[in-house]
Amino acid sequence: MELHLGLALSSSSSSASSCSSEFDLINCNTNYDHESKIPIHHLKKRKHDDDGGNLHPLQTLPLLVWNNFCNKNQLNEQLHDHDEDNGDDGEVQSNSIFVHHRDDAGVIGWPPVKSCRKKLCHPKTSNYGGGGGGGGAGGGGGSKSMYVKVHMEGMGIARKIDLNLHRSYQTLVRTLANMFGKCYEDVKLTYQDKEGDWLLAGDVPWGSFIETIQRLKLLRKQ
Amino acid sequence: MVYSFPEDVLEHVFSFITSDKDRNVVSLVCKSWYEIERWCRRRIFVGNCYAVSPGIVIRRFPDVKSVELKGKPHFADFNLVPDGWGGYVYPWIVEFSRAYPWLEEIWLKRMVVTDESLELISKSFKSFKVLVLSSCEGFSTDGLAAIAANCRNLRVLDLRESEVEDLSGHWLSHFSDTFTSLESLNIACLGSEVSFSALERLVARSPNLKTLKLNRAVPLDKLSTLLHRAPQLVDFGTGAYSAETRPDTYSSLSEAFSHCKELKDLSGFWDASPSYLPAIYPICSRLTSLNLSYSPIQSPDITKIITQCCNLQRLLVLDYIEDTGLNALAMSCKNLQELRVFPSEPYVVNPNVSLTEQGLVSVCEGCPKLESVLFFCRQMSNSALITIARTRPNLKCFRLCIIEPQAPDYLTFEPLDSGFGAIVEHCKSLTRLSLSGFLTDRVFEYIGTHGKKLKMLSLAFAGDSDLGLHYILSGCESLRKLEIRDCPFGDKALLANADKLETMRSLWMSSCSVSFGACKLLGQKMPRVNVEVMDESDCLDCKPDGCLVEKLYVYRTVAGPRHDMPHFIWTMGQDPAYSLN
Repeated sequence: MELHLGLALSSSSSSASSCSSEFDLINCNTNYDHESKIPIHHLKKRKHDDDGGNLHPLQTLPLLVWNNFCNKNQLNEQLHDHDEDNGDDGEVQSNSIFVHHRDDAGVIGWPPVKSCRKKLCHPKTSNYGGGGGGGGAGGGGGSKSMYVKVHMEGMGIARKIDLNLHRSYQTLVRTLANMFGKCYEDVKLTYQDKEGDWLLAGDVPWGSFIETIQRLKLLRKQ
Repeated sequence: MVYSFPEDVLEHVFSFITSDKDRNVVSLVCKSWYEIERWCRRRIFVGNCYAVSPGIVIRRFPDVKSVELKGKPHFADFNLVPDGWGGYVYPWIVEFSRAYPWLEEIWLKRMVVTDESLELISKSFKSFKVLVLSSCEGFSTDGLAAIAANCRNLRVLDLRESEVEDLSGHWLSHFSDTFTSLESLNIACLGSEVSFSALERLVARSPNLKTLKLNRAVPLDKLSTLLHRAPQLVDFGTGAYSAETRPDTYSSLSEAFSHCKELKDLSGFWDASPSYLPAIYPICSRLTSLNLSYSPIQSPDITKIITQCCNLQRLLVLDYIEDTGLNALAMSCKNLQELRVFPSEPYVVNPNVSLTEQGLVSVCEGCPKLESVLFFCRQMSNSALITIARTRPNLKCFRLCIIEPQAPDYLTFEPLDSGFGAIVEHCKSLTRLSLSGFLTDRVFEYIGTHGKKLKMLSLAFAGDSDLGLHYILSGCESLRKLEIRDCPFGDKALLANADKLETMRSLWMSSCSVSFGACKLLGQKMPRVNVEVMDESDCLDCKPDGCLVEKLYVYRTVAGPRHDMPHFIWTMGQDPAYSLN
């Protein structure tokens, strides 16, 4: 079904607003790849700093075609293949890419749950089986991998890392810093736990950390 | 020749017209009807407290018994509205205390209510009967003490989901010993313990008490005492529903429940332990409403309860119900009208809970009267949504929250455009819709084309361009409230549909692509609309027009720009004299 771009410019109410004629909706970018009919997701890079200028031109980055990257199982298989290739040099390479609209991970006010519900403390029940409680994925090939998303402050693109390949905060921070091209001394690591709170990594024993961690964020040390 | 009825005949006729909408229409027939109507309107509803001023309301309606006011935008529930935004009820109470000394009811939602306001209410209105504070904040138990002490004819004190500063539980003891008119008490949101003996005596001397919703601090072993004092209860909310398993506690509780022959609505169940759940089995078949959404009980226990609730119309529950529980619901509760499933662990990426879209499809297929759905889940497909749309065209409210932003159809990886499109196309009486998942401008084309009865629409992380917003604003004729976050909608669509904004109650846009320049223009072009932006800068005029606005709230008003804004909110496009805070 083709989108109709030739839209009437005046608003539907009886008194047409004079300002509507200034805005030409025909030139609106619909961002459809008409040949393949695959909708391409666009990222609008929003700068928070004021560089005294003009509205940034839309930066369209066809970063993600959902057909290929959305199935978590498929994704883990791809990554698993890569890991095997790496041998035992101790470094983990993650090639997955997820796109978010915002620079910071852990979007405020999402999911839309009222605070009176968040305050509920649910006791851990036997529903939670062994192994990492948090971001563990099914994984391919029966291995226990535990992928969590990582954001780097100031970068729009998130990565993923398998926490089960680490046993200490030290190797984790070094690997993450390396992933984003930073030195481990210039960053500090924060994480979001099961309750939605953001905490500094390193205070709790590694085991507790693994059980509760949902996402990671690297901040620049100032 | 025009025959006119005497005024009192017309007034008598109008007294049967209670809906605001109808009353508004009546008042437009002619001048004399306007005059008669305004003198006999007893109930006022103000959907946005800044759309009108107390003075305007009082001038038009001189003899009012009940007022309902709503303050903050809905997204305030999710911490998107900063503290200090506004919504203060005090100025309204001051004016009402002068103009309506016989005011009986005050209903507030998302407003800031101070102890001072509560004290003023308690002292100003001699016949005061009903106080309902829904999702309000700003007051403490001291304010409640004033209400208890001074409102001798109080019938309803309902604090639903408000945030109260809990100084002590003693406030309840301020109800005098001769106070016997209580019909409804909801203190579920309070943290601290109220004096149990005071509560028991209050319940014992309130023969008309129909609603009693306790807070978490009331222990389970005290419930039977209270229930024995109030066997006429229709609506009951327990406190923490767990205790050491003791046969005598259990049997007295079970007996107490059985004596409540009128009980139709149960809630509470904090920290519920399975051992005490069977105590409610004998009354399940009478229940029409059940709220287990604060309870950690798991699917098998939930299912056991649900299968006995053949008359259930409303169910609120956590995702612990899982698909198996939802299947049981579909089979057992043929009168179900409303279902709300909340996430037990909203921030956990892969919780160990087997709740999928299949459960929702089951309920939609099995429950012919279902018309309102709020459902949090982690996966959805177009085929499920299309099935829901086809089997449940009588849906009026459909709010779906797929927890991962922009999650596509998990089977085909396509956007969920066609699924939601089917919803708006088949559900012709749909008035409220919340979207989630991966969505392109196409879904908005469907909504604009088919969503003619849609009054409220909530969007997040959706769409590709201004076209999406344009489809909504130009197509949804009944739209009243539109709330948008993190969507690539900008100036073009907003300005091209500026007139639409005067036909709506409000528009919220945060983390979108609207520029300061467009907001200024909009504010200038639309004098009867307040265009409020939230920005921390000291000087807004120094901001380049092209800079993007982080948060925007636009609403129609006959009261002009407001003057109670904090430093970070600016009304755009007004005369410079007005824009200074």
